[in-house]
Order: sequence, then C-alpha cells, then structure tokens
Amino acid sequence: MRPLKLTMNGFITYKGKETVDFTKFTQGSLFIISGPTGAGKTTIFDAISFALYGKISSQDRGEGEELRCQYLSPEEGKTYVELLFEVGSKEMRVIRYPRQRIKKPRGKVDLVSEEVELYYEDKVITSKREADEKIVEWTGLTWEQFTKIVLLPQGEFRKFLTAASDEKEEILRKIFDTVRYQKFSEEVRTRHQLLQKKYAGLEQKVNLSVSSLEEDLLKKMGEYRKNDCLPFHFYGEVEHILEEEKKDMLSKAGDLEKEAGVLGERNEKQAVLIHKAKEHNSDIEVFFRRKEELQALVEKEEEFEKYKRRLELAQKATILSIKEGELNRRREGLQKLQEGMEELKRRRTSLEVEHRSVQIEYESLGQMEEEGEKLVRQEEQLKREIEQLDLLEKKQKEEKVLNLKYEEIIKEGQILKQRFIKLEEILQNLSSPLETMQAESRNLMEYKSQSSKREKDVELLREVYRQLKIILGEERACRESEIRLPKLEEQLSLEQEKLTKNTEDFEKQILQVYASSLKEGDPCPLCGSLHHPDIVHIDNSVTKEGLEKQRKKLNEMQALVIEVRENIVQSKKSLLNLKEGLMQQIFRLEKIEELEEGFDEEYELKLLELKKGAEGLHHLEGEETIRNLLTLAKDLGENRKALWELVERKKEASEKKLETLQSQQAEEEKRKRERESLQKRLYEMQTEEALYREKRKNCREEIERRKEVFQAIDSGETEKLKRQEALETLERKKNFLKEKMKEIKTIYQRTADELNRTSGKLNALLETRLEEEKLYREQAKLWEEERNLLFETEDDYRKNLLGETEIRAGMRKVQEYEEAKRDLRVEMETLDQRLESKDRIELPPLEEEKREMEERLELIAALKEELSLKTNQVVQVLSVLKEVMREQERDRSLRENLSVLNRLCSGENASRATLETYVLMYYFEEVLAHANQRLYRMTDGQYSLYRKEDNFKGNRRNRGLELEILDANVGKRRNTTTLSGGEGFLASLSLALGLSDTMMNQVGQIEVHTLFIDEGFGTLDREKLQNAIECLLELTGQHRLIGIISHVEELKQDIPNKILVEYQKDRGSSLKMVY
Amino acid sequence: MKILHLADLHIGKVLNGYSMLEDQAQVLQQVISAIDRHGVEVVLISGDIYDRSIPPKEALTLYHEFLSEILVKRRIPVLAISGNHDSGERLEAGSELTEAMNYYLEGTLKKEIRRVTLKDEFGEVDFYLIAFADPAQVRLIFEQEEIRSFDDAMREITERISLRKGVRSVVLSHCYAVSQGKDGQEERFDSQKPLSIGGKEFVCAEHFHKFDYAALGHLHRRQKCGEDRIRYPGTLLKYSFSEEMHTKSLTIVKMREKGELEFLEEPLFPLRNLRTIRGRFEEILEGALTDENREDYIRFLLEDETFIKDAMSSLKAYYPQAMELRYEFREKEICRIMLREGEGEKTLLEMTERFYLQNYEEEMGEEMKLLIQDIVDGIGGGE
Repeated sequence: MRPLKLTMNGFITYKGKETVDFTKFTQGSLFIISGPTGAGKTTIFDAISFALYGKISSQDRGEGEELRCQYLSPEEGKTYVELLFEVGSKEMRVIRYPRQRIKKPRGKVDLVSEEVELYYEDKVITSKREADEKIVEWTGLTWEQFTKIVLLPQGEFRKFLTAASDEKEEILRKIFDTVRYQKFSEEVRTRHQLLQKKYAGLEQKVNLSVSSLEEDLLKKMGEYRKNDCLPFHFYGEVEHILEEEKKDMLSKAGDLEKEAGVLGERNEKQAVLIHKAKEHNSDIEVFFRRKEELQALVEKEEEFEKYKRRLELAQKATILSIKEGELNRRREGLQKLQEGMEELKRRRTSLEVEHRSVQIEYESLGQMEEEGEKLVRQEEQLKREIEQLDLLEKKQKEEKVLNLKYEEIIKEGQILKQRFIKLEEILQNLSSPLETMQAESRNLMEYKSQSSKREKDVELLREVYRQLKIILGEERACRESEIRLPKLEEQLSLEQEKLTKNTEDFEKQILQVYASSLKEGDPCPLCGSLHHPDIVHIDNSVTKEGLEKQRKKLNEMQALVIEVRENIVQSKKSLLNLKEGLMQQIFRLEKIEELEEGFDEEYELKLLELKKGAEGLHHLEGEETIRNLLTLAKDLGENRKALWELVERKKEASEKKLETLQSQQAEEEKRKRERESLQKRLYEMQTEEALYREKRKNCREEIERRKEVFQAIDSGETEKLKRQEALETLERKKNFLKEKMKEIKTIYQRTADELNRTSGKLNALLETRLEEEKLYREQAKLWEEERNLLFETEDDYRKNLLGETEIRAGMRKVQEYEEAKRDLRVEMETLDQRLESKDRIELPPLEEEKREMEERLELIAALKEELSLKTNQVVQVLSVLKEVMREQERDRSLRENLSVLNRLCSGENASRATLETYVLMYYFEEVLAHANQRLYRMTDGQYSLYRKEDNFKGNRRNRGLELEILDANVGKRRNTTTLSGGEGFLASLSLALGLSDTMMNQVGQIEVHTLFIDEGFGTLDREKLQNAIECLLELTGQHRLIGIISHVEELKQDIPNKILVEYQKDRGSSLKMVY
Repeated sequence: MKILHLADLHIGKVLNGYSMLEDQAQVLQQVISAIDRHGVEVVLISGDIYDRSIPPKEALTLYHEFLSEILVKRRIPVLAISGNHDSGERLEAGSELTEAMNYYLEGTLKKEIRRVTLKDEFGEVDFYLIAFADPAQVRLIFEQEEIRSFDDAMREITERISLRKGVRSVVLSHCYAVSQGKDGQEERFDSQKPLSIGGKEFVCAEHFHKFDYAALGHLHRRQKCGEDRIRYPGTLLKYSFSEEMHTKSLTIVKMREKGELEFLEEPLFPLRNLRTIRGRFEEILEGALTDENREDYIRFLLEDETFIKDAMSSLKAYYPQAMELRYEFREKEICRIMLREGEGEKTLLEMTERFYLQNYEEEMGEEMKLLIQDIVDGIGGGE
C-alpha cells in the first residue's frame, strides 16, 4: 500500500479543504511533517488511517463526531477524507465521511452516520462493511497491523517493545493471524477426544457384556480381569476361553435333546391307553341308566290316552263360544243408540227456552238506533264551538308580539335622538380652534423662507474659512521654497566644479593608459622619444562610467533648481488670485433682518472686522493676520449656524402643530358624515312606528269582537275545556250502544241455528236403531240351533269350555312323551351293540406310570433351558468382543497419530510449547532477526534484542515473548524498560521495521511500501539520529514512502520534502507542501 | 601562488561521545607549521568548518584561534564557504568586518556568485565562492522552477559564472561531485552527513571543467575527481571507522601561469589514531600490556563465540578511548539475516512439520501429513 494523494475536508483541526499530493515528492520518498505542537501534524496520519479503516491512528484521540472540525457549524460542508492509493499497480480511491452532525437539505440538523465510497476499476462500493473488507483484502493489513507496521503513532509503537508477554502475544497473533493454528489445535483435540470417548465406550461395552457371564465362567478368566474390567489386550485370550466353553455347552445340549425325544414318545402312548379305558367305563353306566328310564315311561301310557280325548271336546266348545261373543256385542250397540236419542231430546228442549228469551231483546233494537243519531248531532255542535275558541286564542298571542315590537321601536328612537344631540354639540365645539391653526400655518411659511437664506450664509462663511486655510498653506510653502533655493544653488556650483576637475583627470588618464603601453625602444607618439624611463602608473580611480554618472547627477540638480524657482513665482501668483477671490466673497456677506435679538449686533461687529481684514490682505503679511481672520470667519460661521438652527427648531414645532390640525379636520368630516346617516335612520324609525301602531289597533278590535260571541266569559280557555269533556262522554255513550246492539243480534242468530241442527240429528238416530234391532234377532236364533247339535245341554257346553293356552300345552305334553319313549329305545340298541363286555377297567396303575414319565421330561426341559441361556450369553459376549476387536484394529493407527498430534499441539511435548506458541515464537524470532539487523547498524553493533528465555519454562502454554536487550559492551541482558529514550526509540523503530520485513517475507503477498513515524527523533543524539535516518533512507531505496513527524530542527533543514503545518485560532490548521 | 586547500574541518566533532577538540587543536597546529614551511599565500576552506550548525563555544574558540594565526599574525588571506554541516547564516554574520582582514566567507548562496580577486606574480586569480544550498533554495534564488536536484542546481550556478578572459579561476564548492563514466558509485563515510536526506546528491564533475582549479569539499577521503584539477583534500583526521584505512594529509596547490598546476602532499600525524583491534578477548587484554598507543580511538572486533561480561569496561581500563565493541559472530549473523530473504509464507502443514521435527527429531510420516491436511480442510482454513 502506497498513498498517492490525500484530501481532508473539515477534518479534526483542518477547517477547510487540504490536499497532500505524495507523488510530488520527487527528491526521494522521505518527507517530514513539521509545525508547532497541536497544529495538526498527526492529523495527516490520522486521516490516512481513517480513510482506510474508519479509525484514526490512536483511538483515544477521538472518534465519530469528534472527527469533524470543531470550528465548523452544522450548516457548513460535510467532513470527509479522500485517499488515493495504490497496491501493486492498481489504484484505488476511498472517500470516508465520519459520523457527524450536519444540516440536511430540508434544513434539519441531524446526526449522519459514517459513510464510505470506494472506487476501483470503474466500480464503486458504498456499503461500509463491504468496503472495509475490501480494503483489508487489498492492503493485506488490518487496522491493528497497520498501526504496528505502517503507521507508528506517537508513543504507541514503543508499547510493543515493553509490552508484557501476553500482550505481545495478542499483537503478534493479530499480525500474523495465528488463530488458525489455535483452531487447528482445538480441532485435533476434539477429534482425539472423540476417538478416546469412542474407545472408552467400546471397552465399557465389553466389560458390561463380560460381567453378565456366570460366576464359574468369570472364575475361569479370573487372571485376566481386574476390578471387574477386562483390559483390551486380553481380549484374544478371553475369546479363546469362551469359544471352548461354547463348544462344550452345545454338546451337552445335544444329549439332553435325545433323551427327551424317547421319553416323549412313550408318554404319548400311555395317554391313549388311559383315554380308551375311561370311555368304556362311562358307556356301561349310561346303558343301565337308560334301561330304568324306559321302564318308567311305559308305566304312564294309559293316563296319556285319556287326556288326549278330553282335549278334542274342548276344541269344539271353543268354536261355539266365539260365535256367542259376537251376538253379545250386537246387543250392547242397540242399548247405546237408545241412550243417545234421549240425550238429544233433552238438549232440544233447553235450546227452545233460550231462543224465546233472546227474541224479546231483539225486538227493542229500533229504539236504540234513534238514541245513537241524537248523540251524533250533539257532537257536531260541540266541535264547531271549539274551532271558534282556537281562533280567539291565536289573535291574543299576535297582539302580545305586536306590543313588544312597538315598545322596542320607541326605545331605539329615543337612543338615536340622544346620539344626534351629542353629535351636534361636538360639531359646534370643533369649528373654533381650526381658525387659529390656519393663522399659525401661515406664520410658518415665513419662517421657512428665512431659514433657507441663513443656510446660504453659513455655506458662504465655510467657504471663506476653507480658502483662508489654503492661503495660509500656500504662504508657508512659498516661504520654505525661498529658504531652500540659495542652498540648492550653492550645491549646484560645487558639483559643477567637481565635474570639471574629474573631466580633466579622465583626459589625463587616457594619456596615461596610452603611455603605459609604451615599450622600451618604441617611439612615443607625443614626443617621439625612444626611451621611456618614467612611465606613469595607472591611476584608474576615475572611470568613464563614473564621469557619466556625475554629469547626469549635475543635470538633475540644475533641473531641480529651476523647478524650485518656478514654484515660488507660481505660488505667489496663485496667492494673489486667492486673496482677491476671498475678498469678493466676504463682501457678498450682508446684514440680515433678524427675528431674535442679540445675534445681529455681535455678528455685524465681527463682519465689519472681517471685511476690514480682507481689505488689508494685500498689504498684510504673516500668518498672524490670516489666523485672526480665520477665527473671525469661524465665529461668524458659528453665529450664523446657531441662528439657523434656532429658526429650524421653530419651523419644526409649527409643522408638528399643522399636522395635528389636519388630523382634527379629518375627524370633523367624519363626524358630519355620521350625523347625516343618523338623521336618515331617525326618519325611517318614525314611519316604522306608525305602521306598528295601525297593526296593533286592528288586532285589538278583532279580539273584542270574538270575545263578544262567548259573552261573559273572559277567556275562551275554560269554555273550550268544558266542551271537550262533553264531547268525550258522548263518544263513550255512542260506543256502548253500538256494542250492545251487536251482541243481541249475534245471540239471537246462534240459538236459532242450533235448534235446527239438533232436531235433524234426532230424526236420523231413530231410523238407525230400528234396523239394528232386526239384525240381532236373526243371528241369536242361528247360534241356538248349532249348540244343540254339539252338546246336549247348555251346562255340558259350559263344562267342556277350556282356555286356548290350556289346550295347546296339553297337546305339547302328549307329543313330548311319545318322542322320549322312541329316543330311549334307539339309544339302548346302539350301546348294546358297542359294548363287548359289560365289566369296568381299573385306571390308577396306568396313571401312576404316566406321571412318572412326565416328571422326568420336565426336568430335562429345565436343564435344556438353562444350558441354552448360558450358551446365548457366551455367544453374545463373543460377538461383542469380536466386534470391538475388529473396530480397534481398524482405528489403531489413526488413534496413535491423533494422540501424537494432540500432544504436539497442546504442549505436552519435549518443547513444552503449544503449536500456536511455537508458530508465534517462530515469527517472533523472524521479527527479532530483522529488527536486530536494523538495530545493529543503528547502534554500531552495541545493542541487540533477545527473547527472554527463563520465563519460557514457567508457563509452557503461552509465554516466551518477553524481550531483553543485550548490550555488547556489557555482555549482559537487561529488561527493555531500562532503555533510555533514544535507545528505546531505536529499538522500537527496529522492531516495527522487523515486523514489516517479516510481514513482507512471510505472510504472503503483502507489500508494506509505506512507513509513517510520529515523533521520537528528538530523543536521539546527533550520531544516533544520523544512523537512524540512514537506516530509513535504505528503506526509501526499497521503494518505500517514509513520512516522519518531527520537531528536530536539523531534520527539518536536511529533508527537502516537507509538509509545513500551521495553526491559527478560529481558522484551524492549514498546510503547505515544499518539495 | 601557493594555495592550501582545506575542507571538512568538522571542528567540535564528537565521536562516540568523545570530544575530538584536543586532536583537532593538535592537527591545526600542524597546518599552521605547514603554512609557514611552504610559504602558503592563500588558504581555502571548502565547507564543513564546524561539525554542527550550532557549534559549542569551545569549537568557536579553536577555529578563531586558528584564523587569527593565519589572518592576523601571518596576514594570509582565507577564503571559505559553508558546507552542509554548517549554518550558512551563522557563519556569514559579521563577514563584512572580517573582510578587512582578508577573511572572505560566503555563508549563503546569492544571485550574484561571490568573486574575490587576488594577485600574484603571474597576475590576477579570480576565486568564486559557492556557498552550500540545497536545490529548493537554489530554485528559489534563481527562480528556476525546473531545478530539482543538486546537479540541476550546480549546472545553473556554474553557468551563471562568467569567467574573465585570461584570468585564472578557482572555484570553491561543497558538493558530491562524480566524474562521468564513474556512475554514482557512492562513497560515504559514517561521519559524512548526506547532503540531502532522501534526495539525489550527486553533481556532475563536468560543471567544474571551466575552472582552472576546483577546490571541493564534502568527501572525507583525499581524492581527485576525474581530472587532477578537481580535488577533494579529505579531512584532517579520521572521523569514523569507515575512514580507518585512510591516510590523512594536506593538499597544497602551486598555481603558476594559466593551466600550470602542481600538487604537494604533506602528511599529517594525529594525536590519537583511530583503529580496530581484532582478536579474542583474552588475547587483546594480554596485548594491551605492551600496546604503546593505548590512547588511540579503538574499536574492538571480538572473535569470541559468546558475549563476555563487562567486556567494554574491562577494555576501557586499558584503552580509555575505547569506542565500539563488536562480536564477529554477531556480524556474521546480521549478514546472514540480510542474505536470507523471500522464504515466503509457511503453510500450517509446513509449520507443524517443523515443530514435529524439533520435538521428535524425525520426519513426520505420510499418514500423519494426510491427517493434518484432512483437519485443515475440515476447519475450512484453506491455505
């Protein structure tokens, strides 16, 4: 990264816009920034840091809003820093605006957050995050690296020299980005732990599996197990033992299986035998029981025959009884008809009585109608009366309104009249002062004309005064010239003499030159002599140029004398003119009639004096007289001026009065207009009043008229109420009458209808009864004949009559009996055929034999179960063991490698250092090597930096970065903090250079082509300073741009490329480039 | 005319904290006696009279005593210019007064180059005094915007000097002249401050060709620049260890007719020599007993392989003016570091391999390398 051009606008101490063009430094690429403390030197470095990273070189110097120049108000331009820089051959431009409070276009002062614009290859990035990332990517430097390697802030970079080991580690970590080593180590540890955990899991699985085995088995492998755990290197042995065991168990299980097979077969046969014996015994029992049952049935046979016959008779009687029931129902129907007829007859009689009573009322209906019509007539009369009363009421209200209105009009008329009278009075009062006013204004005009006269006089006097002054000056100048003239003339004559002498000398000199060139033997052109014994030495004191100069001077002087003489004549002439002009002016002044006393007397005396003086001007000489005249003119002028001012004041006063007068006139005019309008309004009021009076009269007359209709009654109100009540009573009566009539009519109609209906029904019932009676008699005769045919007597019939259920149960009983008899006979026949012998077989001995066999079988099964369980366990343990062994075999080398690597990374190794520490140390050694190379030369081999080693053993994880300085003169190391200011500066500078060398060498493609150092040179003595500068100069040879801030005077003189910074209160900093 | 050409007196020089005034007083005494011996008629001093722009009063006194020996007692004119170590303005102060005693000093460069004319039996000799100024100053004085380097400046200055026909001419200048063909092979001694920090300081010797003699100053080694008549006389004393091998002497120029020059060299014997003693610490201590010049300014180059405790103070007991102490092995180390470059970036695998080697003293197995690469890929730290 190499900056090309930096522009700052309103940045920190720079109020305006300043540009530093680094490409202008053509005399090498080392430059110095100098200026007084606080002038803004460091700000230039800050600006570069800010442009690139948004942070200034040292953060405690400010950030955000503090970066805007404090002398700028929010209305002024936006603060920004622009940096054009190159990386490799690529150019980039970044513009960064800090967070700041400025006025927005709409006029609101607001906080605007940081903004960035990054331009490169026709592209632009405005996202702050993206731009920041891009810059770090290109420069290859983070801010932390930048402030340790490129820009070395004041007092900051010494920190690295004396920083504690862990602080240094942090710095180096950031610079060399060793975090990846840390990450790597962590990953190794994680993988190692994972693998270890997996192994522990596997062993646990084996241990669990093994401990599930039987005690005797465990005993067999006792020598391999320790604390119930089986170390994995015994897995092979244990596998062998278990395999043997498995084989043994399998053969045992085979023997048991065989025995169980034989026993099982025998047992089954025995079971069949026992079953057959049991069947035989039960068959014998059944046969004898059936035989007894059949015997019992045969004994009941006669009884069942008798019962059968009795059932047949009961069936016939039942058919007869059904027909008898029908006959009885018919008879009962007849009876009911008879009863209905009698009921109807009773009803008809009561209806007839009711109808007759209603008929009487019905006949009185005509009377009621007449009464109704009378009521309607009364109602109409009442309504008409109420209407009349309403009209009266309305008129009375109208009268009240009219009264009110009339009173209002009268009142308003009175007010208007009062106002009118007042106005009249005011108008009369106004007319008298007006006249006096007009007189005064006339006086005023006169004042005005006199005042202008006086003004003219004052001016004239001023002019006199001015001219007198000119005359005084002229006279003085004239006198001076007269004094100077003789002196000049004297000087002139002296110069002339000198010139004449010099001219002679010069002429002589020409001859001498000629003479000096004469050689012995040559003839002299003047005298012809061949011998020249005494050649004149050249005296070249007078030169031609000198002569010429003198002549020129003389001419100038002559001209001067003539000029002075002419001036005197001219002056005198003009004085004369002036004096004459003045006289004329003075005589133009005249006495004027004055308004005030006292002024004119004094004025006149002085004026006379002035005039006298003016006349004498021609003769009198000397300043005294003119001065007297001057005072006179001045006094007169003041006198006139005072008068003029007096008149002026008076004039002003009367003008003011005139103004008041005019405003009063306007007021009167206004009042007159008001009076006119009032008069008009009064006329209008009178006509209005007459109108209302007429209306009121009419209204009252009408009311009187209407009251007469109701005679004594005062108001129509009670009369109207009475009539309304009567009207209501009438309505009620009318309605009652109507209801009553309607009721009577309905009852009459209803009774007549009902009577008709009842008579019709009675006649129909009589006919039906006759027909029914005839049918019943015919059927009763038929039933009698049939009974006689079946049973001899009625009694006989009744005796044989049984219920239907009784008959059906009897028949079922008979059938069941016969079926049972038949079934028993069939069964006995089959049993008889089957049974060979009719003897029982003995069971107990057979069963005993079978039980014994079963017990033995059970025992064998239990043994088998136990054995198979054990075998299964062994098989399971074996499979686990084999699986684990397989897995272990597979990961063995990975496990070993990881373990070694983990120890290497975590510091459990011969070096007792973690990988990251080792890398840090490696870089640190590199840095030190490069730093020492510089320091060695800067201190003539005296100092070198070393890593402090004893500390390294104490804490193996991250120490070993502390520094010591070795003084070759003493041969001992000591703490870097004991270095003097200058030594410390050199050591720090070397370290910074070492860092950048290492960065360039080790960390990829980073080019660190720039180095800015803020102060420190002041601590060096002359020799050291020279050494340090030479070291820096070598860097400029490596195409590096080096900028230093320094107060050291010698550096300021020696370094031709300069940025001079200046600071003025309220205007901020400004800079100038020198190259 | 016998001209003594001096330059780079560096009066008040402090070397490694030792003031060299005593040595300078002694050597200046030798200069005085040489003046007498050879009948020198004029003394030229081509810059760097003092070592610092603000010299201490002891330095001023010494120089003034030296001047009064020449100017007052012997009435020999002295012509001097300022050098880059001097402050021109300070030197020049009061020069109108001293001119009455034939001390012509040009401290600051002016538009008109100062000419002093002296006479001898062959006629007049014009001495042109060019005070030291950097290109920026020259640019300002002559208002020539294109002056950017010392070479540009010297061309401008010498072109402005119009020589008088037939009159012999001598120019005094403090610069770093390089003759053509000899391309800016830089010669610098530790005591010789660069003319311009960071700038190109060379001046082409051709600019001085038109003068009969160019009395130059700035380079500490006695030398001529291409031609015989363009010369540096060198310093009177060794002012740094880089000058250790120089022999210091006086340069006297005999000028006769135009173009006729003769050079004389008068050796100088310093009070204390400046030298390096090389050897093992014990040997040096032993040798010290018989060393007769223990007062010399000494630099030690120890051949021991380790640092020796309090070596310097032990040596100082014998050599009070011991200045530097260096160890040969350190010199070599520093050389190695300088030579070692561009090793390039180390990958994580490489670094781990180094660490492994350091711990187990054997190369890492292939399987392990694969494992490391796998982990590196796994953490996404693609290298």
